[in-house]
Amino acid sequence: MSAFSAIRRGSSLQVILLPVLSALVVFIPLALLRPIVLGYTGLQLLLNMAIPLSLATLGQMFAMSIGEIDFSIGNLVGLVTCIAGTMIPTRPGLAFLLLAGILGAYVLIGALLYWRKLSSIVITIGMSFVWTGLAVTIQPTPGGDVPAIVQKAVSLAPPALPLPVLFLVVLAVLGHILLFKTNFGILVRGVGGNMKAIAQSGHSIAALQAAVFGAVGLFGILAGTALAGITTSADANMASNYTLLSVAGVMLGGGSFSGGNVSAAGAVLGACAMTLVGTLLTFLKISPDWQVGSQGLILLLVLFLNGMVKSAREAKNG
Amino acid sequence: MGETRAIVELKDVEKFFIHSHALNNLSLAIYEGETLGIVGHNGAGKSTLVNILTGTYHASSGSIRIDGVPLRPDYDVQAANRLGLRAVFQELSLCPNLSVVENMKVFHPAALRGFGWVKKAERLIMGTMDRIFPGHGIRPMDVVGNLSLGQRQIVEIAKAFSTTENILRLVILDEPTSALDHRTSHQLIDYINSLRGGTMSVIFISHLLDEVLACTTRIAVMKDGVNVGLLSTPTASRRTIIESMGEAKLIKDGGSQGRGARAGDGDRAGAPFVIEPTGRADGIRVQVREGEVIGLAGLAGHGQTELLRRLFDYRNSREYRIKGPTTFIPGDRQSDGIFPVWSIAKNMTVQVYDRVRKLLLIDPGKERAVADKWKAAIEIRTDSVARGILSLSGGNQQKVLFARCLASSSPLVLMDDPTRGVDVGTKEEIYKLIMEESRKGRSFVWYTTEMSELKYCDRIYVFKSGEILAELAGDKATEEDILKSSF
Repeated sequence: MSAFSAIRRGSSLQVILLPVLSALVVFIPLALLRPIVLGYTGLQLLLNMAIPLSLATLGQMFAMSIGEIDFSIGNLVGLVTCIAGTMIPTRPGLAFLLLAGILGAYVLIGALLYWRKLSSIVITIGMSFVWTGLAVTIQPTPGGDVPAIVQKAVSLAPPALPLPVLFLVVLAVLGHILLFKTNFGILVRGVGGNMKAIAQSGHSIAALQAAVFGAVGLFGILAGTALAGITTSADANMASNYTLLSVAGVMLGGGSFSGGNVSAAGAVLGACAMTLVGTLLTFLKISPDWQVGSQGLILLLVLFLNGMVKSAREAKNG
Repeated sequence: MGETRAIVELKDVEKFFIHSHALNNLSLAIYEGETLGIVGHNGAGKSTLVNILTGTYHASSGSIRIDGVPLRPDYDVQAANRLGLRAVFQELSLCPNLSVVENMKVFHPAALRGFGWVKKAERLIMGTMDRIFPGHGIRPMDVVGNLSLGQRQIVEIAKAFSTTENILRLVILDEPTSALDHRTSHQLIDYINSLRGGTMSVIFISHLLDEVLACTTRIAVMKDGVNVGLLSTPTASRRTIIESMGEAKLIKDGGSQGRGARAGDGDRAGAPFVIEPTGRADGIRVQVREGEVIGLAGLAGHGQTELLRRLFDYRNSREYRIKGPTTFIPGDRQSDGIFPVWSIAKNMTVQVYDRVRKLLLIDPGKERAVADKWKAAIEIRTDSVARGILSLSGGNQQKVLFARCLASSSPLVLMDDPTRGVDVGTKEEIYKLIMEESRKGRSFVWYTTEMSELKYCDRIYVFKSGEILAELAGDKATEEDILKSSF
């Protein structure tokens, strides 16, 4: 009983329970079907694609932590693969200028949302067309030449633990520290919980929203660079499903649309679960025609179970 | 009191809102080391006063000095904080998803920063909570949303009394004990009493007169935005407070248009019931006859709206036998009254589709005809009912809601403070409308927060904590009777 109440009390522990379960629900059948995935190379191959997705999911998590959303993050990741694959090798100056411009645009979006009382759904859907348009201009057909340094970075083989595992753990820990131990993180979560209280204590909501969207942009850029390195190609439409996958990952990780409730470790685990579902379906010999639909069904099921567990817990807490 | 310094001095402060005059030449001083109680009925201007002191609103005119210095025109919430003015509001100002110490960090950003802020925040909040509410059982890492309502209020109050490097001059407590239980309420009162004579002052606003009497030095009684009495607590009592709040004269003496003007209609005692209690009654229950106007009074949030909602759901009522169908006029028209993107005509006819349709489709001609009829009948100020509802002023929007309900054939109209935020002229038209319709046999159940509107009622039920405490005859009720049952 005391262990249970400890879970009930220690909110971070209780919040992480659901995403761990979700990831295990996908991982255990995978390991049973193909025990080889438990090896060094197996894990590396299995979780490689989780690196860019978990970065994008962390970005989405920042937006959702203040009750906003970024519907353009998949398009942004696609654009960044084009910049990384086409421009960095040939015109690095322009490429970095462009990346800085993207970051600036995100900061501006965050501030505009507050000043003009706009909806992030509308702005970011609009921006999604801007990003893809830019990407197609830079790289009309898939291809490109990703710089060797990026490719090397994502194919490092550290001893003992494969790179993706190491990376995901470090990312979750850093994300957690950023959200729960820094001034910025506490204020961001506070804005999601009760914006009025934060404003009344003398903090600038506009600055906070700008910073949050700056973080979204930064993680989007990192995700795009990582994706370009792993796939060694540049493609405007490569990551178009990242938008919804990242939202799903945040939700699986215990986040909510209303803001306030977020967990970095949960978001990373959610992104892993979303990556693994595709592999699991392939192992189960489900034809690619049915995969996307099945992925959606599994997602619905997990979110439904999450919702049930959550409301049961809330009923118990009163 | 002669040599004590005034922390806050208000002189002839006025505050106008679009349709109301919330503060009317209010003058008041709060002295160093005292606890000033403020009491008054709903709409007396207490909240407006608090919001002006804490920088949320600006006074329309008059002068305010804090520690002798006039307020700068850019006075706002942060400036109030810097000058050491804090308020605990009824709606909580904590972030529910943050822990207790994190909430403290957000509130004291300058003092609680850098390495070791957690320990500092913990010492600060736990120290304050232990001092005011010993045995509170709250831990510093508890997430606020997991605490009970009473515990949250404890954190809220302790947060307001916590001091770092900033001075604390005045803490305003607005209904602080509404979420506290008996024991913690007493702890707070004891703590406030222990502050007396120090450098800090407290404003204690409450509807619970016994608490106000227990912890204040002076009591300001407010009514209609004016300070109508300043009592010294040692010589004050419940009776003297209520006496200065309300007048003993009959409510309906307010003018000729009141219910008295309807004397010629004859007695309604023989009319059939529209609302009748079922089963055996424990306590007072509402009954309404055909053509009666029934007032629900008492302080806001004491069960009046809940009763109206239960009556509206007339088919499922177990406590009352109700002659339906019922129709409802909300007070908060923005959130539950109007359809903001629809035209005036559509807003008016939404309850009477059976009269404006041709077969299965709405007939625009019929819709227009019904709307035009009501536009003329109740003088809605617009050139065309085809315009959007938002093109109308708030008062005229409310008239459209009245037309919607009156166009229906419901014998019973339920009204939830329907004249909230409506200008005086429109109010008079609405009163006239209610009187006319009741003469035709329609019944009204009318929850109002305005004492003056009760003069239109045949009978008045006074609510407190969800119960009906008194039933008063409209022609015999006095303001004092109602206040006695409300407080």
